[in-house]
Amino acid sequence: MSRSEESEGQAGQGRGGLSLGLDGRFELLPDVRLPRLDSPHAEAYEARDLREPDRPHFALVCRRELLPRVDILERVSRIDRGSMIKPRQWGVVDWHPAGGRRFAIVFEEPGGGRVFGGSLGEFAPMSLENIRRSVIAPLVPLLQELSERGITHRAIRPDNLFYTDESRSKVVLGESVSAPPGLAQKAVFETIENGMAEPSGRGPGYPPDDLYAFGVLLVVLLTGEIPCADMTDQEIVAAKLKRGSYSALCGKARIPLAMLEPLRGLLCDDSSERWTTGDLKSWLGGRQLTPKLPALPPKATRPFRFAGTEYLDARSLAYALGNDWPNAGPSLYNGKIADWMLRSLGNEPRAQLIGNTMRRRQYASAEDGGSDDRTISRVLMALDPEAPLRYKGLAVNIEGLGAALAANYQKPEKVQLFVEMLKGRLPLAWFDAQLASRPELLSVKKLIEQACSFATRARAGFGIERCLYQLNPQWPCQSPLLAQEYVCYVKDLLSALERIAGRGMPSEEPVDRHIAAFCAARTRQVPERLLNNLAAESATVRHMAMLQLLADVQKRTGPARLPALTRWYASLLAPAIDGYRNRPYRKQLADEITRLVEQGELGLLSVLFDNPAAVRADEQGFAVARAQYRQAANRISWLEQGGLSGPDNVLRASRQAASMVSAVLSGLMLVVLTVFYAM
Amino acid sequence: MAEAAKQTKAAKETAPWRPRILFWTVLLPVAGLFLPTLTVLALAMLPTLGAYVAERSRENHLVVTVGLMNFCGSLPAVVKLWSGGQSFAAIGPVLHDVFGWLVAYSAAGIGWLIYLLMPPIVASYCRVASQTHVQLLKHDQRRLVEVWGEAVAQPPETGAPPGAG
Repeated sequence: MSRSEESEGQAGQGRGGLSLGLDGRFELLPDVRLPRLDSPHAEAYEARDLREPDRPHFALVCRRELLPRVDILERVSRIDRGSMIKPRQWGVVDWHPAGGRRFAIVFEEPGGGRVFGGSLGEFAPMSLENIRRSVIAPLVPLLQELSERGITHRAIRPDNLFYTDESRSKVVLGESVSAPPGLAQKAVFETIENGMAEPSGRGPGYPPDDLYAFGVLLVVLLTGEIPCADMTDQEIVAAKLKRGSYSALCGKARIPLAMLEPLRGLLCDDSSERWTTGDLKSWLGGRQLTPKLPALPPKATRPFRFAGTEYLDARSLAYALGNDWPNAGPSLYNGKIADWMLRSLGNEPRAQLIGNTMRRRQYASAEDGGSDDRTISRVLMALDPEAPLRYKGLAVNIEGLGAALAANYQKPEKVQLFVEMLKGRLPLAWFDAQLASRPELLSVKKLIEQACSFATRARAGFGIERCLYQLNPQWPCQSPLLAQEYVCYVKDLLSALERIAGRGMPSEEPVDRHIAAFCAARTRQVPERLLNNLAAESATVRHMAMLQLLADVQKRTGPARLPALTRWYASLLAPAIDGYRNRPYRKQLADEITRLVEQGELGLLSVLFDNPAAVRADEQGFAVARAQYRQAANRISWLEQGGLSGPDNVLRASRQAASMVSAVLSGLMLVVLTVFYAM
Repeated sequence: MAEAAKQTKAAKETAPWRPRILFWTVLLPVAGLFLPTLTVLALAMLPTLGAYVAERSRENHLVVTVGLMNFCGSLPAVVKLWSGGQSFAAIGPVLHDVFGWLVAYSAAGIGWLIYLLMPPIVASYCRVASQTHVQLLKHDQRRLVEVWGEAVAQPPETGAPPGAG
């Protein structure tokens, strides 16, 4: 179905429906679906460029639970080659079909359809000449440019290839930014290491990973079928480990002689030996290169038996142990594995590392329930250092740890595995187990060290939530409060809370564990005191800490006015006003709050409530007032009991009064007599 | 300074007789000089002597009340004595003057009267003053409650904790 037909087919529902602006230039039509342009993890909708309405565009609306590759969008959009569907615009939109905000990316639509629809019956093998001209020639420069820009595509597969036009003379690579890298890739298109990892935890990888996928793509185009299509991912990886990728994928296929050389080069399992784009260009130019032989792991002199299978190399054994976690422990604890490593494989350093790990397990306390699992994980690292980090059936590449945590965050049982993994500092053990130092991983190591530290602290602002945001700088805040929002950056947080407060005063507190961790991870300068107070038992202390946290965010990122959020806080902090004894001061505070709510500045509200001098003055004033009250009560009691009008007091007072009256009269008499005798 | 105070105290203790000598040295000649006047006054102020005898309190309010009036009432007789030259010869006419006695003793009587009438007057005043004072204090208490709440009326040990409003 052509684009126009598709659009018209839904025009009755779509035209005149809600259209959404994205940065003012593009208009998204939520009612006009374009299923043929769907990505595996994002639905396609029609989009219009308001400046150039004749150029067809489509938008991919990303799933909320998957992280788009926001970090490379800008760089990908600047790629000059016309061999890739480029993102034109992206951002968060109010996506009413999903009842909330979603991340959407607008792409320019390719002129032709998909090269490979996914159904084997519909696809015929391409000729060698056609592949050279319309696939290799345009895509190799693209891969080179991606590599030079430090970007990996990680979605090179047949169903992500499009023809540029109806003539079908040239192909373009589809998008790779709507989901985590490598998520939609089948294991067959991934290197051995990436194939071992959970799809969401493969990480961005490196340019050789794209070249490997490109090699598999060429095999598919040449043969018209996906290699190992009848095998599970686990079987594919096992086959690659056993025979090498080239043999496993091309063993039964009829590969043209001219393609043997590039395919051997591209499917080389040693990434340092794998063909580069330069090699491919040379090959295209007719230069002959030394054929690569499959680099198989060293074989043992004696096999290691596990679960009825005999293994002759450490990588295959590690992979099998990792896939059968419950049985891995008993096979490892007998200590034979270190002996096998030493005697059969002759790898003394690794044997020593395994021996040390086993000894550490013996010293671990009986209460430490996770010790056995950590031991297995460490032994697997020693057996196959290049493999992903494995723990209780979960396997993730170290760079994909954050993305995997994010993708699995809605699965509590998986999250628990990540918590145990980080608390046990297994990712750091993975770095220690590497054969050579890897400078490219230094920044990742630093982040993971922080995450391991945060995972051990349970307070708000730390824990697994902090790890989630620390390891995924673009991951939106997962607070239930923000379920209808999409807040990736801290600058958007307050606007989102303002919208929520504007819709009606929610019963929840404005800062939960997620928002606290999100702010702490994004701003990096949240004082410990505030985070401690977020977990305080006293609601007033807790709310004050929340207010100060968000006031700090407002000060850093704006917006300047947040009247609804300020009102929300004012209502939460109402009990704090009642904490003051002095009622006129309370009224004064209430009036001041009303004024500040209009002003919408959280910082001022924070200063108003966080006033220890006023609290102290109020307490002192109250103590004085209570003393005055008691004093007055005592005086009243004394008076009512005849303290002043009692006989004794009256007698004493009357005597004094008599003396005084007498003195006054005497004085008058003296004056009169003086006047009388003077005359 | 403390040293100086000690020295002064010691000096006082060692010579307590000096003021007394000075007093009698001055008073006796003066008394001798004014003996006629003192004689007239002594007779005219006999009611004060009576008041002194009847006085029960230590503050001598009755003596002061009667005495001051009695003294003023005695002054016409003293003036008459001084008009006669303040001599023993002039005492006779003064003592025979009924008006002088009448004035002196009437004034003393007024003093007695003041002393006797004052208690009911003061009692009435105190009663009214008490009531007024109680009203003012209650008003103050009400004002304190208005400003600080009911908690201000509670004793500290049972007072509501801060924050309870």
